[in-house]
Amino acid sequence: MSKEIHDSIILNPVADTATSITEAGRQESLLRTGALQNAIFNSANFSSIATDAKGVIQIFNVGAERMLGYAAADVMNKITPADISDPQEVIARAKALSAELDTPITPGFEALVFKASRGIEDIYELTYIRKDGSRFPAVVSVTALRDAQGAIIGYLLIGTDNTARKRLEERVRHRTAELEATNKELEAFSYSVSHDLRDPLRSIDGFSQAFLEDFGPLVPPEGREDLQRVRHATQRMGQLIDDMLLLSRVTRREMHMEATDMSALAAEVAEELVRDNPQRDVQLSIEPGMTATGDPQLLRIVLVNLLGNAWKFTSRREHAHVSVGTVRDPEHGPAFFVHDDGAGFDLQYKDKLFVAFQRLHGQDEFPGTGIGLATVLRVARRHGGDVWAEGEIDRGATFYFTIPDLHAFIPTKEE
Amino acid sequence: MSGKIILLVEDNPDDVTLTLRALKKNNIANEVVVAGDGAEALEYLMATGKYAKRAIADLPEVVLLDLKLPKVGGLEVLRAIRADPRTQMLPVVILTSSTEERDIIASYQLGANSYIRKPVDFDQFVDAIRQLGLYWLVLNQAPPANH
Repeated sequence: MSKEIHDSIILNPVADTATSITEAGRQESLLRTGALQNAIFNSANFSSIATDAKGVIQIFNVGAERMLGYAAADVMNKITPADISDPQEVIARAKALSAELDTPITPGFEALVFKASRGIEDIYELTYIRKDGSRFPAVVSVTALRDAQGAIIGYLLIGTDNTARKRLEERVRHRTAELEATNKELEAFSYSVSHDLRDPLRSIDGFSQAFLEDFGPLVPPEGREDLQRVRHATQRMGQLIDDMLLLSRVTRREMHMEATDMSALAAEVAEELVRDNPQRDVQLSIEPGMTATGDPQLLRIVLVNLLGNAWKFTSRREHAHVSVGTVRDPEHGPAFFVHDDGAGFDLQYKDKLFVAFQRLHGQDEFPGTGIGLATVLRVARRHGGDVWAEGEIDRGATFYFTIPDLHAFIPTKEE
Repeated sequence: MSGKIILLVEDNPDDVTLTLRALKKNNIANEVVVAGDGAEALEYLMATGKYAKRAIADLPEVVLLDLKLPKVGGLEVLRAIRADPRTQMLPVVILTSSTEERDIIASYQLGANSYIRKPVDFDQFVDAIRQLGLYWLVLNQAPPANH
């Protein structure tokens, strides 16, 4: 007695065995009272169909009756589950399994349970046919039922109605097709804009200039000025078209993700700005070692726009300061920023900043098309990131953007 | 510089006028043959149809080729030029409105020598024509004839 107590105290297995014995007892009572079978049999959400070894239906539960429209008496000892399945699918399944397992499988009940009969776990999609001839997609799980010696005495097919999921899949497919069609349309539209919309502009501008050259001396100064306005407007429209095309290209472009040296990219972009604006005195600082995983061409567009803006909106400063760096934003995590000490903006309009064609400054103040920041936003969004801004009138502006490191999820594309 | 012919393949009469004007402004006095569509351009180059009497060996110095053309498109013209041994080395400059990536890629893939987008601003257009004329008519060494 004392030994037994001793054992049970220090040897956990003994304690475990004790537990499993009680559990086995509980399981046995569940099985003996038929509670488990009753629950399975009365479940209305799963069709449980049990057959004998040849496939003839022996048990047809409430769920099966509800889903398939047969009364148990209609089918028991009469038909096999193959008779309530789409015959074409059964044939196709037999063919596929024959190829997969390299053994001939007859298109019929065997095709539905062959894997289970070999002890392979089997769950598949199948179309069931109701008594009234209507059909529905089901997901069926098949298990072989064995006697104490392990011989197969039947099969259990548990099925669920897959209609809702199928409908959802169909909707996704439909939406995807719609989206693809829209994209194609957009592409055709952009292509046509690219080719056709600029041509008349060139005529307007070209012949205005030709007129000025040929007949300028005959026209009063106001007339020449009017024509200059026509030319300015034409060129501005040309710029608008170009910016719109860039915005749409950013959206359509297939992304090519790679590790990108953002410091080098910023330096490259700034160099171009310095070269194009030699009269400007801009003190520039770029944080070294900044990297991002993204599409380098798109990331370049972000920096071209943000640094271009920094240059533009500091154009009235004799000595301007522009910096590019990174911060850890409490809300967005690690973010890049481009800061300038230029004209800034009124924070109350910050929601308009990233909307296409919305501008916070007049043309005569700072020229632009109002598409640049919308383009920046789109690039960031395509990378799963975001943009936002801080600023104050005459106190400069800071634009932030995030390029989350998603390369673990996005397969990189070799070009 | 004269004696060298420029073949301008352009369907838009405004663009033809403006291009001729830009050439004249830049004192480029070469003869300019204008083909209004791709089919006519190929007739000229291959000396067929209304150009049947032309000596085929007399190739233009450079072809200025628009992409969007009636009948036979610019890319088709380029393909035909490169496919024919008599014209395969002919310098072809794409002069068009589009900067669509697929146009640029297709043009170079088919063997264009250069791709220039016509600027909207006429002053820039004149300058582009000036540089183009200087490069292709003066600086560039054309492939030898009868090769």
